Amino acid sequence: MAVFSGYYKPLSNKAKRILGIVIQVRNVIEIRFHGMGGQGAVMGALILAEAAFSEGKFAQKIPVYGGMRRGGDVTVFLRLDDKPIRRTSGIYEPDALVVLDPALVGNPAVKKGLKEGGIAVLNEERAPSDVDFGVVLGKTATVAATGVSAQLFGVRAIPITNTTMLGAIAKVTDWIELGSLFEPIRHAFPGRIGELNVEACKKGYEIVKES
Amino acid sequence: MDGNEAAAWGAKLSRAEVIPAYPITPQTELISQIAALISEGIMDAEYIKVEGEHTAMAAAIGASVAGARVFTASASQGIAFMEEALWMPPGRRLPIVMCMVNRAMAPIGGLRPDHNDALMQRDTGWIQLYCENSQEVIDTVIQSFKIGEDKRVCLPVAPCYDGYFVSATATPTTIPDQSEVDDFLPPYVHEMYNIMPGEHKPTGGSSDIAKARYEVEKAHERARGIIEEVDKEFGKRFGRCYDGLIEEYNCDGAEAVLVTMGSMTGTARDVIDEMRGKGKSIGLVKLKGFRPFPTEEFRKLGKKYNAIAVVDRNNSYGSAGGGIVSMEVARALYALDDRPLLVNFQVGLGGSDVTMRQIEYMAEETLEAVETGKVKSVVDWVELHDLGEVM
Repeated sequence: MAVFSGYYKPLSNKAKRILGIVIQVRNVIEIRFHGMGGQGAVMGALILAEAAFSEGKFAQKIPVYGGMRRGGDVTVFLRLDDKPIRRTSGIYEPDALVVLDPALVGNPAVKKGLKEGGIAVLNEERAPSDVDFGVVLGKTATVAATGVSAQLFGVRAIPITNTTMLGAIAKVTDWIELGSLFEPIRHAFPGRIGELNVEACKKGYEIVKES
Repeated sequence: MDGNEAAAWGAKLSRAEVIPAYPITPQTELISQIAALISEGIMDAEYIKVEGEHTAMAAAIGASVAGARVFTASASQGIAFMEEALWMPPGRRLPIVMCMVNRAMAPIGGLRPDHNDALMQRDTGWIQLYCENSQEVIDTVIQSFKIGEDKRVCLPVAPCYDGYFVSATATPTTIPDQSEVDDFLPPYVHEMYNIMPGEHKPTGGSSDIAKARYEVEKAHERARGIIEEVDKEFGKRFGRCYDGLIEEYNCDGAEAVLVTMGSMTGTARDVIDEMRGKGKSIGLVKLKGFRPFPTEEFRKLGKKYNAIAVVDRNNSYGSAGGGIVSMEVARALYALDDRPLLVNFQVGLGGSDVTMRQIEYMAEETLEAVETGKVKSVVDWVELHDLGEVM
């Protein structure tokens, strides 16, 4: 059952001198997910983390919410790295934002801290060029995930958009391969629901627009 | 795997036999995971649904007296509600293991962690071991049974870990093999501990009572060495160890150290590495064991470094002396002829996040104290400064 350890014994400074290793700034990717309770932000981030892990990367998911309930705002921090991730603090200056609900796209608290040159992947019907984030982004991607949810899961008060967003992420970023997402999705949702979510994921990959 | 799943797997691999538990955020997923492991037939244990935390501990005491290996968990108000019963296991020398999933106490605070809920149980006689991530949680739960059940110890053990930042934070985690855990941790053999010669009840003359209490104190004294011994053996068998009660990280040649506890340690590792890379003379000390307190270890640190900065994720109203950990460290250092500067920060109170900027700020303030030879205030409430990072 042993895979690999989240903990590792770091080299002492003496050992580093002997080995000639210089301490490097870590090239972690820090992603912040925003959604409403029930849309699957936590599960979506976990699926992405597991998929990244299956590709040999290290991943860490930290959810932030109050009591667990539908409709409340949910923030999830996700870190991807090629080394074990040790920091457990929140992400205040994300490299990327994933927004699961169109109502949150204009919210200043959601946009806060996004780095210049960063990436935004949004559940949004508008074209990427019509979305203004107030900073120059490296990439803006929009995907009409609410529509995909209505088509596959029926019209719901709180549309399930996480797996569609994951497909979009696979297309527009180098974080993950589309194919790596399917197994974690099927693991999270066994049976027919899993297949519908795989379809939503593929759909997101197809219809995402980027600029 | 997140911290709660890790704790559940730790209990499963340790073959805990009785789990009396009552749910409370952020511990709920831990006991629901255990319930799932039992219902799926992966874990063989008696799960007792109780009507409150006080009963959970009462049932745990009963099961432990009857000779079972017992695991439970709680948090915050739940631990407080349990407190009346918490004094029983150390006095009766019952090696129950209970995870304290740290969460701030009401009303000033939310569902997220600070350490006051566990620290206010510091005098009950439970061993307290604070964990940094889910890997340390699973390993520490297994170690805790071995430590508590050691005949030289016979004490209950509380692996403590921060709600959300450990409990709900998923990271890659190694699950040890069942057969290897079985080799490491043999079945629990219960012997009724003679609290007083010829008796099982703590009654009698005052000297007998004092002797019985002194026995518990001596057990804590012995536990210091045994925690290290168990950790070393665990390291040999499983390839991971945690340096016993305290770990010095990236401290070589440093003038000062930050002392952290719990999940903020991981964040501090990244900050300290970057600062060392820039030539800053500051290292990190992770305090894992709060009870028994590593007094001698802190005296050794006091001789090595010019300043010790304690980062307290708790406060003690009206103490006028800063956080609980800093008071313990001050007491340890008082015995030294040549004492280092003692700097104290309070941060992450009521469950606020401890950020990288805050840790950098604390490190810089500590280095300034070393330079000027002066500490600005008895305690610095870090969150009262605007460091431009609050969401």
